[in-house]
Amino acid sequence: MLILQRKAGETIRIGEDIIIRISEIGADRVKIAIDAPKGLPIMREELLTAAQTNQQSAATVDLTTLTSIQRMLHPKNEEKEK
Amino acid sequence: MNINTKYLGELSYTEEEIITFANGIFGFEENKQYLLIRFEEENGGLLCLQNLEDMNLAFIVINPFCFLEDYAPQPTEKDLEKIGSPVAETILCYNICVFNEDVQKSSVNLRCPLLINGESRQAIQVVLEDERYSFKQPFQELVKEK
Repeated sequence: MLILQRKAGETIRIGEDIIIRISEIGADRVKIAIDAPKGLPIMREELLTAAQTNQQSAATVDLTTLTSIQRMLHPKNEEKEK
Repeated sequence: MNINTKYLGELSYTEEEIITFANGIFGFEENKQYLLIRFEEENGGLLCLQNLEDMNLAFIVINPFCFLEDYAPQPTEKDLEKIGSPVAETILCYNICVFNEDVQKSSVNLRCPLLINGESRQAIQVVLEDERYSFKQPFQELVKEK
């Protein structure tokens, strides 16, 4: 992995048409300005993780699993059944 | 109005029950309207978030406060503005679960709660900045804490 040191206001160029500028450096975060071709997806990593997690959640849950989850949530009911 | 749901058969609902995610939820930006349905009358913790545009799209969600007394999501003001800046008491909060055949491997996404304005039914899914909350908190641990 390439690691570069930059000061506020300095830029990095990737290829011909992507420019990344360190816009502001704060105590615990930096502000980054990105100039890239329209249509090139740029997103915060956690948004991608959030979308992937939702996609996994949308998978069908079968009835057996649902039942065991409900049991797990209600251990008291299970005791009663016994 | 009636709808065929993914998990709960055919249900009737009213306009007022519809929850609107103006920006969708992450990964499902085009699906905006949902119903929140309890699985069982007595089961306070487990609910189904059923999409109205696609009957095959449904999520299983929990009310986090049934399991985690100290769960304290802190959404940004900007996020809250998107659902009409409701006062804290009227915000409903749910978290989406990922279920696995092996129940032990099931998890809940505490990092990305669904926040609903209880009065206007406008809703948003946010990513919290607080890194203590995991995208995949094992379900087993929640139940233990309970």
